[in-house]
Amino acid sequence: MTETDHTGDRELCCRLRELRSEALPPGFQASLHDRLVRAAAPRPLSFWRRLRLPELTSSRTFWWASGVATAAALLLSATALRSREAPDVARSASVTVVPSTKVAVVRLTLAADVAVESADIRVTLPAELSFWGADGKLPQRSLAWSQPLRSGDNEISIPVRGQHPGRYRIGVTAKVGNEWVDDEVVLEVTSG
Amino acid sequence: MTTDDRDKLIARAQGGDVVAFEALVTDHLPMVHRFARAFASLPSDAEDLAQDALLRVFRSLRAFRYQAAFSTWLYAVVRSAYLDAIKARASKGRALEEPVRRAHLQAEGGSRPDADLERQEERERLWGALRQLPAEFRVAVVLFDLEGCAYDEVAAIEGVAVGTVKSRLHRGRAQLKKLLCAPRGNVLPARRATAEDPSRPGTLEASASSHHTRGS
Repeated sequence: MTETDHTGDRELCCRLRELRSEALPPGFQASLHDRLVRAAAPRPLSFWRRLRLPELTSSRTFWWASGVATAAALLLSATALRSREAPDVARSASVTVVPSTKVAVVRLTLAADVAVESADIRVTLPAELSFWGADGKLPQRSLAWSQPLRSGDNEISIPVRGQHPGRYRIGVTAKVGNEWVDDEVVLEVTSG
Repeated sequence: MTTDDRDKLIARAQGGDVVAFEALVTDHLPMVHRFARAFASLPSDAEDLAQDALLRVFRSLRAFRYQAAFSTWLYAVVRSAYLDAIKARASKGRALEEPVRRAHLQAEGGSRPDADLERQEERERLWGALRQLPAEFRVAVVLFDLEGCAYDEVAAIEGVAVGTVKSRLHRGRAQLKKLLCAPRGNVLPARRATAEDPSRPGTLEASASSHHTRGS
């Protein structure tokens, strides 16, 4: 970009900033108030209705297929968004702690108001975590699949293991038609 | 307003408390309205558009999950409402026309001793040029250049990468400068119908404007 471009941009920016002096039209707030009063209350989330916090709820314990590893249960929050209206940014999610000697079973619960034929689901791990299969560590960093969802809760369990202490974020995305749910769970792996 | 106060207002508004909602959004109203001016030429249309968007924010409040700043979420919803309005308008084959009175003012030309009138004309000229930008460029220019949002704020509102915002800004400014350099009589009404065609930005940056995919 040339100096002329920079100067031109600055001038343009200054001209545009002048528009900020425009005030609200008279009666705007009163009219808005009337419309809000007439409007229905905030609607419950339509398709994705769940709002389950990622707490280490219940002391459920799972045994992985091999029966070797004790699994810490962790409930994944897949809170509802009707669309990608709100961009994801760092979130102060609850942190679930699991020792590096254990396999954590990430319990993903997706709740739907109506049954759907196919939802696209993707779970992505940071490099420090691994999916865990019957034979141990799996090479994939991301798992994606499609499945039907029934009306109500749909639980999906995904064994994950971290071998180095640290805090890691597991990303989950589910998509049905044009509606998205995405969230993340923070897993803290401790030594021992 | 402290974060705690805001969170309480959000919780009340999510339960349908209109007064709490109004307290929550009152500081944002001028920006929401100005943002609407970039999408509707007639002041009354801009007012309706802004209020429609705010109603959508109210109805969608339960989707707010505290994972982004409330203002970011609010402007993301508002932006979405404005883009939807453009699409609806385009699907109906209807473009809101520039006010006739302004065309007359420009055609008349001549000196205007009234400085306020000149400033008003300059503002209308800028709004008119902004409305001719492809919607995605327009959003970036309005949020960054006009409203002073940071790159990452604009990126969060639009659901795109910062690099995409910079690219849109660059291209948007270039187009805007050309429009503003055009003879006065040509700027506002020209290409009105295509300017409101939501397919244009998609054509220009098909991959970058897929704000539902988070870059994947």
